[in-house]
Amino acid sequence: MIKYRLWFATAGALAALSATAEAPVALRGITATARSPREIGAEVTRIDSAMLRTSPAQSMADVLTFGSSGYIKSYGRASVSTLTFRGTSPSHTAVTWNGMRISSPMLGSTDFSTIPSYMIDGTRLLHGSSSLSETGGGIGGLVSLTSAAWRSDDDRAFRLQAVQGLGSWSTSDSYLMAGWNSERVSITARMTYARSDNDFKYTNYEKKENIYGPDHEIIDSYYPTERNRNAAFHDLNAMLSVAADGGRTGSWSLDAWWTDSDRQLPLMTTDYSSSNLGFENKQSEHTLRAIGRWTKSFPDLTLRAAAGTVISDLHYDSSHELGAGLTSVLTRSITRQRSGYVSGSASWIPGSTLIINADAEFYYHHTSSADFAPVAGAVSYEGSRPELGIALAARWRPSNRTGLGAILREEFHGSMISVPIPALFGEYLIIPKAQLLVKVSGSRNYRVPTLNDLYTVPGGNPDLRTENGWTGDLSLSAATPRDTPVRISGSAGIFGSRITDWIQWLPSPRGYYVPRNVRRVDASGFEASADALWAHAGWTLSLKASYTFSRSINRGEPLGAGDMSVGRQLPYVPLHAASGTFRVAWREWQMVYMIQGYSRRYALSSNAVTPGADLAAYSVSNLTVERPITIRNVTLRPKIAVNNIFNTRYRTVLSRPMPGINFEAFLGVEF
Amino acid sequence: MLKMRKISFFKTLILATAAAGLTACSNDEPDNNGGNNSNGNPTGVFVLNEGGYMQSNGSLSFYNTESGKCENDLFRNANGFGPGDVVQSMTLDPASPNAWLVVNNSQVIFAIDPDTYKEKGRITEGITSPRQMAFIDENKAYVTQFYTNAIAVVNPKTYAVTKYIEYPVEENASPSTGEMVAVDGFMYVCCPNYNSALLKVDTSTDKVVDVIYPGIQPSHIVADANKDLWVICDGGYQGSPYGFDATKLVRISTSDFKVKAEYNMGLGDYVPVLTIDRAGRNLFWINGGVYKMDIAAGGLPSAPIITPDNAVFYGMTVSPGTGEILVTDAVDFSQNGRLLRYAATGGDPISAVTVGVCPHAFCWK
Repeated sequence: MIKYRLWFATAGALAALSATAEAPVALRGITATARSPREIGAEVTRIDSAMLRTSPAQSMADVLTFGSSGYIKSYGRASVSTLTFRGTSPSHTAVTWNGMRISSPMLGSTDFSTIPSYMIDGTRLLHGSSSLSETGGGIGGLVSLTSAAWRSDDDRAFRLQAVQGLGSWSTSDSYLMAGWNSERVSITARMTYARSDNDFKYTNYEKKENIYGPDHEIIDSYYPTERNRNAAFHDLNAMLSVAADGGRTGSWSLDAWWTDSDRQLPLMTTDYSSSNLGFENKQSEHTLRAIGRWTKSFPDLTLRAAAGTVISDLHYDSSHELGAGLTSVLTRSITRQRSGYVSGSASWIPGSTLIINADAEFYYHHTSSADFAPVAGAVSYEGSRPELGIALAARWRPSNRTGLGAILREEFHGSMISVPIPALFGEYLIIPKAQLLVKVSGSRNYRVPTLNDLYTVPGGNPDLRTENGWTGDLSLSAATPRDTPVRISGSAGIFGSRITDWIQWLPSPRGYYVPRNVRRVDASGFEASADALWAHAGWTLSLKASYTFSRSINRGEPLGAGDMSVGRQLPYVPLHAASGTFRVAWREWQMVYMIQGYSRRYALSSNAVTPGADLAAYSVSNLTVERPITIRNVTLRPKIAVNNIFNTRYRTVLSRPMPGINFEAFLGVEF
Repeated sequence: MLKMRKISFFKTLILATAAAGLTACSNDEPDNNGGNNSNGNPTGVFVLNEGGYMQSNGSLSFYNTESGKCENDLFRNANGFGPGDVVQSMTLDPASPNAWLVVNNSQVIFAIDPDTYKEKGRITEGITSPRQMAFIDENKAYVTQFYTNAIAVVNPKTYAVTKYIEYPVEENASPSTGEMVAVDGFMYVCCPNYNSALLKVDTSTDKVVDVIYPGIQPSHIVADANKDLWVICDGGYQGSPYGFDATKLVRISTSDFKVKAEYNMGLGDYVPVLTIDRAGRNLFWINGGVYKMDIAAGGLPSAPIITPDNAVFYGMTVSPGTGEILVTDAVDFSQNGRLLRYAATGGDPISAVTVGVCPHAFCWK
């Protein structure tokens, strides 16, 4: 009995540690041991803390690009970057921060470019059904982000860390962290600030410059070398985290995160507007996310409660000067989000092999969106929605080798009530020595339309139905024993899901997009990941790799005789996605090589490939070299980062250039 | 006398040119094919494929009405790059062998050879979100544009904006101009975006001389054989801060610039195209299906002459030679569309060919 209690306690502690680890230590990503009871049968990928601390220039979009096999659709640095899991859409990826959903209730998706990785201490990706253990709506999966106050792992009471980076195109990335902790209280303040002109050069193959003769006849032409125009940005993020052990009152924490972002929106490669005249196309964001959490543990019971808020204002302004004193104003829009959140959960361990959880979470979203450019004072739409989710879960470990789990979830979104959502999980340790573990899971899943889907003006469709479907997983994982010289772990599995009433925004003849329940999508595929670690005589080599094969096929009825999209891969979903990280450390030196690649993505629903709509396969590699120097109690961390080291020409979105080789030097100071 | 009147009407159409994106092309004598077939290009019509918004996959197709064959991606194949984002309209220059391709969201107007499709020049300075181009004479053309209260006046010989025609904008309305048609020395210009204005511009002075407000968002305009204007006011959309009204077809006299008749369609009906036959006697528009109306009729037709049969009709033109009706099917707006050919009397399609993404406007060659 003690053994099982220890198992649960250890697993819980490890889960907590993974959320708060600050030191850049490469953790084993996939392991069959010490699994959290919440993760019985679950497909979980952990991003190690070293990946999160590669550099303060990184956003979570970069981390997920190189650290997972999900697909990041990016418009470039400091531009919209969304994640899709397993061939679904960005709005099928749920995102939580310290347990609170931070996906936009208007769009359903999350822009990972706005989340600096230095603001995040732990990242887990819960694939498919596994997301239901934490929240609903993640048909593709869940990205669970955590931030927490720094806790010293030695006797230090105070820690100060600063990193300054200077790079190509007048890029500056700064990070400052100050942490203090006593036996019972931890306080951490940190901030990141990034700015860049981001005006990299590229050869524009979607334009030609003409050379004219005396009578304006074209005598020659060439593909011009242009700069990424109107792409500068300033991003400021600040976070305060306080954690306290209240003794008999439980443990308390408060995390508040402020984002102040001012970003120009780069022009497309096909934009011919004059660079000599005034031009404005920018977005600014002011967002506060805050959450307070309480946990109280009893011998057989753990109670948790949380309350939080998201307050966000997003401004978008676009105008051109025409000359002759004329100005063309395209957009002056303001989008506001006000969200409140409360949750509570109880975990009961009635015996040595059983844990029962009851969770409830409630959100209230109020959003408004107005564009003042076409008509003064215009309000496009204003909408509110309460959302309640309740879940009951049981995990049972009838033997050392076997784990079973079940979740039943119910969701209320305004007047929409989901059908009961069951999820079943199982795992069996086939060969303990090799930690060969088979896992299986299956669930119903769903996603309610976003507020924009329902209400945006023009285009909102209040008659939309909830997307729903079934998802299943089967996987094997294994690992070498810890005492072997080369530690290897790996996982491989298949997944499949069927989603009906898939909501898709389609252009309408009226000139604006309208969401419709148009498709049935069958998404299936294969995921694999592997870790290897070898350490000897001052050398450490480690490798992490992941791969996903994802078929995401439109199985809906043809829209008409001309519809060639049925039976085809969904646009912007690569069949193959892979990433890898290779680390070499020798004494104090550390080199990290990261690579990621995607196969061709189709821009058209028919999968037709034309020169104007071709997103060819590519891979991109980054490299960092670091050598810390310790002088007394001060550690200096000089680092060089080379991004896109092979100067690959690629694009992830049509008409959006991506930077070639670029450099940034960092100096970190740590007390 | 009859012949003179006919010629005059066609000159009207020429100036109208861009008028409708569908009849976005001017040609003095459309029935003699207007083109130089020296390189083997046969008679036919250019199909302008807008492409997906912000995807820059617009393209240019040519449909040979004699052979029934269609060539796609002409601009890219000839020039080594695509035309850009939202290929809006095309106009033949009556004074030169140039065709002018207006690419809305790329903010460029290309002059191309209509036979080889090779670029001959471009206008990029001083325009924003251009929509239509109409020639006044060999030295002057008007370019309508969104988001500004200025119609650009360009010199096609120098590829430059020479001046702007500014126009008044009501309080709480938005400045934008779109389709236009010329009649007897005046250009009539729609203000289709959060506006209700129809502008009358004196093409000799380049001044706005009159404005009327026929209805919410005048979007399409043609002139008939009697020199009356026919305007589709799309009525906006539900929740629009500018208002929401039934879509309507409005008949306006050019002699006194007053509304002569209004024909209400349904609330929320969408008419992406209004065009007129060569004789200026029959109106055609898309409202789900294709409707035809004699200008002498006293009311709207009760049934379409062509039903879409699950197609998404998005563009249309009427052959000036045969009266056949060509309609585009945008499918889901995210894949290549189709060009459907129908007899002048409608019915079932005679043939269908694949064109580009979001095929909308036409230009007869």
